[in-house]
Amino acid sequence: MKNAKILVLLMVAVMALTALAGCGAPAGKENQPSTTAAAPKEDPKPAEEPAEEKLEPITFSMFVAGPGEVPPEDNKIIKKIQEITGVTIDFEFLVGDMEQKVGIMIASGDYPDLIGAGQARGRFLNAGSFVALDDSLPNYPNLWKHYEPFMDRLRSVSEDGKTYILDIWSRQYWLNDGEDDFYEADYNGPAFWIQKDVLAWDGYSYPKTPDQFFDLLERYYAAHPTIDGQPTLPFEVHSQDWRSFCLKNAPQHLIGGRNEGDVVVDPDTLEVEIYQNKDYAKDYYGKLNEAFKKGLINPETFTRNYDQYLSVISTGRVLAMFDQQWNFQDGEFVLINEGKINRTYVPLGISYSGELVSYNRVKNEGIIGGNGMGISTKCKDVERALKFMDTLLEEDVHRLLYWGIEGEDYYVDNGRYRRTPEQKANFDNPDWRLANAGLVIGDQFPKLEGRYSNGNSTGAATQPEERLENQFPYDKEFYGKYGFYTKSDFLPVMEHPGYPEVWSIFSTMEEDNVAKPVFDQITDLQNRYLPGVIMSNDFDAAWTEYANRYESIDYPALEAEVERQIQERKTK
Amino acid sequence: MKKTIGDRIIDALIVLFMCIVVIVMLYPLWNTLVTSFNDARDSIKGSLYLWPREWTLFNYQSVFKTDKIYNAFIVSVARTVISMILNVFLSGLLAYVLSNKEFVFRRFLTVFMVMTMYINAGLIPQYFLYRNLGLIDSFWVYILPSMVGAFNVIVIRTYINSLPASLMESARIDGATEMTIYFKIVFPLCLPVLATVALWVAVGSWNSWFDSFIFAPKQDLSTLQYEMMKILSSSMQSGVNQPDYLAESQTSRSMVTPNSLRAAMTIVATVPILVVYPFLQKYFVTVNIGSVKE
Amino acid sequence: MAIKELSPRKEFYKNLVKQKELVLISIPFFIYFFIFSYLPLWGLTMAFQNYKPGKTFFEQEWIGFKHFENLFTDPDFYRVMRNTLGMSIINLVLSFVTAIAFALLLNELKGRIFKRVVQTVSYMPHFLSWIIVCGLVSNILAMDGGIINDILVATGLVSEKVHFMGEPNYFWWIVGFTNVWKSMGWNSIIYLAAITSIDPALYEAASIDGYGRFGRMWHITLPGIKSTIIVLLIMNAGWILNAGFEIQYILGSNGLVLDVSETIDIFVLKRGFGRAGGFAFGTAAGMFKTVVSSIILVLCNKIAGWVGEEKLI
Repeated sequence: MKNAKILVLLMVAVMALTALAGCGAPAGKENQPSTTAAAPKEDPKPAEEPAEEKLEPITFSMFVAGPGEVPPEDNKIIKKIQEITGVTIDFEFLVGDMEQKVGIMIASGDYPDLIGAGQARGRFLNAGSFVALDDSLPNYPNLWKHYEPFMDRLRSVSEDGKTYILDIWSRQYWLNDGEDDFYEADYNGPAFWIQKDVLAWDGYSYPKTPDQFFDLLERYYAAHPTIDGQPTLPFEVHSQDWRSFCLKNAPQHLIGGRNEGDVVVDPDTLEVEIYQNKDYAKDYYGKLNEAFKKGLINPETFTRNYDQYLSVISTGRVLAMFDQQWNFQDGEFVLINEGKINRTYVPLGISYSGELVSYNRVKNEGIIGGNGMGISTKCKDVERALKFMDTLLEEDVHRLLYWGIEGEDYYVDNGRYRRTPEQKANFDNPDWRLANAGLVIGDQFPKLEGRYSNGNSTGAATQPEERLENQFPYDKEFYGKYGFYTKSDFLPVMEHPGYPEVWSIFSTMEEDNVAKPVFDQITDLQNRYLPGVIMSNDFDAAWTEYANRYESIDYPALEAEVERQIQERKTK
Repeated sequence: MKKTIGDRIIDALIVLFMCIVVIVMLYPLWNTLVTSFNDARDSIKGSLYLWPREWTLFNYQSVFKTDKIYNAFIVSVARTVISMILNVFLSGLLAYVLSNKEFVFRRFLTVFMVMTMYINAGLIPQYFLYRNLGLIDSFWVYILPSMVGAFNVIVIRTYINSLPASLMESARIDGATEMTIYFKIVFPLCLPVLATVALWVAVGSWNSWFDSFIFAPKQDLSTLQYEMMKILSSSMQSGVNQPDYLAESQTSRSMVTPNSLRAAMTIVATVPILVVYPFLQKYFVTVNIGSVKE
Repeated sequence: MAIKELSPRKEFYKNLVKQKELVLISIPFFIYFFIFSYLPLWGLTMAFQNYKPGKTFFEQEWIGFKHFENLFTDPDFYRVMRNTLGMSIINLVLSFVTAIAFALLLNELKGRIFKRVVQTVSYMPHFLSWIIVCGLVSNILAMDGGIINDILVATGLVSEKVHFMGEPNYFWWIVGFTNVWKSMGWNSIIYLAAITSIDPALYEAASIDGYGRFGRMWHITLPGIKSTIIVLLIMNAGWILNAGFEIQYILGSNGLVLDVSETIDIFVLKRGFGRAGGFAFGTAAGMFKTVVSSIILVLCNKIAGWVGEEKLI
């Protein structure tokens, strides 16, 4: 035993030594964001003549903190991009738990050259993983044109007011020729989505309040207890995991708000309030409780997993739900495939007041800030990486990524980009896309949205001719009854309120922010109690218990923090 | 041995019970197989049970569309075979050492080893250790950390303890070295339990993807399981409590993985390892002690 | 004291010389375990730090027992402990009983081919990921087209369909039986291996003594694999706080059963997720689990010793 003790002592000593060596070594000076690396060099007109000289081939490794698929090496577009820029991107997409992967990356300092920050942006920023780009951006004409109007937004994300993350979405280019509206993508955000057949059955009506909405569902249900031989499911409330926004987010819209996630913002004073314990939320859950008692909501809706949710939607017997369209579109796809167009959905702008509200159909105001990628402090050639991104913003190069090669993937008819049915079918197939299209690169880097200078759309999916041609006769007739052009028209367009959507504040929040635990607590409370409240026999008692628990959480701290951040980021 | 009627009835009941077990246990894999041969869009509709509704090979074509799957297969086989051989040999050896009740360090080494099953220093120090050992992005990160398993050692040791100790004693008295005893006497006698451990190690090594994820994410070291996780995880990608209203991008649109693709990948990643057991089963027979004794 | 100590020490050295071969073999194993399992233990210091990845050891802020305080004072902690222990014990009992019983019955099968087929098929579910198994479970138990409900209603056992997935009282059992489904065959393999070490002569003797089939099972087979059972039981008892993660997460993350589904692992992940303390909090929880494991291990080991069974250590 004595020997054992000596051994233990020895071990402790060795361990202590290696501990110091182990964690002392990897960190160190490289972790400071090195501004020197990004300092502007004398680099005259870097991206102006991309093809002039043969660029030295270089490979950048890139980690993307989100799901994705690595394209095969012989992807023709990616090869073309390599020819033009000399750059190969070696992607690694997140597979398992982000916390572990990103934590290890930060702790060890073993960064790839480029990082798609995704949901981990707060952590990367906090750790100083990125190179500040303020000094270099003006040297790259396309990038500068792309970001200059939004530099405040980019800077507002970081604590020291520098630009670390370049947004990859929402920079839209318009021509202001009166036709821009036709180029907007179909609305796919939150709303009360209802089957077209229900509205058509009711004489193409448009319910405007929750009462009218549930009344319509009740009447339709009474007339159609089954659809295709299976029981009708009048209203689904999906509440699984992070998708519980379907359960929780409706009240903010019913009083006229945009999608801010878990708070409502007063557009005039920019004051913030948590709404899940307010009376207008109670009214909504009270409505759901009523609907539940009437049998309009099946109890199983709360325990259906995502696959089962999609599965019931794809059978065409779900009349309506509160959801965001991208979340249920896979189920809708099946309906379209089977030609059950009358069972697909349109959004309704229901509100308590009966006045139509926009839900999230907000006029785009450009970059949000923090929603993109950055260049890591370990990047082997920052200037070259920026040059690469600058080149991607050339319309010719961008067209390769989002339209493909002229003559192969699309053709030009009178200056308009068009696709044959075969080309379109190819592009609709995810496997073909992965092997033959450039979207993988396009999606992870800064890109153009809206319209090219020649008037065409920057993406095939939003080219108006194509959309019109593809519209089903049922839809044409259905929308025509309302005098609409697409399903988006069911919602009025809202002017941008001048501050970023609050959910983007949550996702860029620094990780040791005091508001974060509060946010977790309310999320947990809501997910835990609300299904029970909806199913409760005694609604008022259940609600009171829930509301009391709410009071034990320090939610004003969260409100204050969000208010502070909104002030910081509102349009000046 | 004569058989009574009661015996026969019991036999029949056992066979019947086993048939039920076979059906119940076969169902998950069968259902996965069915889903993998069913059209992906059709699978979203659910209620797919015993036979595909819309036959297609498309899911498998998707799985095999790139070379990386073949490379991953080779890496998987290599890590599995090497781990299995090393672990069985080394765990057996240590188990033999620890089965010796006289051994002065027996207790100390046993405790020292058993505790490794329950202590966990966390991922970050582990990463630093592997980095200092040069294991990051190296094939050996699949092998070295799992060369000896405490659990396996204990199981083998228990088996050795149940063997008659006189066998080893007499060999020792005959002047045999410990290594000789291990190879000549213990190893052949322990074949059933070593086969079990071999199975455990092979399956564990084959099924692990986490080490690829953290320590060797490079494509050329990817394993079949890691490739499968890439497909599975896009449907379980979310963290807990993740405020993600962001998925509105085009990426998410192309990223939804249909059940059928998931199923096809599962079949591809699972079937190769399923064949290991029937192969090892022949060692699950009582070893005739007399034959080893020479 | 000093004189008394001399003689055991002498004996120790004598043994050491005599067992030099065993010692030589042991040394590499010792070094191996030391490097791969004990060296990284410096990371446990994180449990006492406001650990931030990217900072060096000296720059970390030391916060004492704050993480442990957070863990033990959290009102949810006791709920998740209850869930963890509840599901763990159900799993432990169910999986031991079913695996052993299955191994015994399998051993009674006469046809070699049939036996192999049953064995091979029974361990197949082990290879499917939780995501697939859980998908099947919720489909089978669904009210809307689930086969169990269809059978229950058709046979008149229930008048109204049962909402299995939304009823807190069923959740632990669903987890337990899903575990049995997934791993009974797999777990039985070790017992089948252990059965091979039983001397066939014992069975003959028992037959002559007039024991029937179940008598032989009870008096020969079971005692023959008892030491394996005990050792596995002790080791598994040490993992009592690892009740699982994925199955509870996939099947139980809806508001109706959340109260009974959250295990300590889910709790730690949720509390740590996206916060600076994530790793550190997880480390603290891991330390807590190690301490509990060690205590249970020593206890079980002692009990096994008292009742004269094979000890683990």
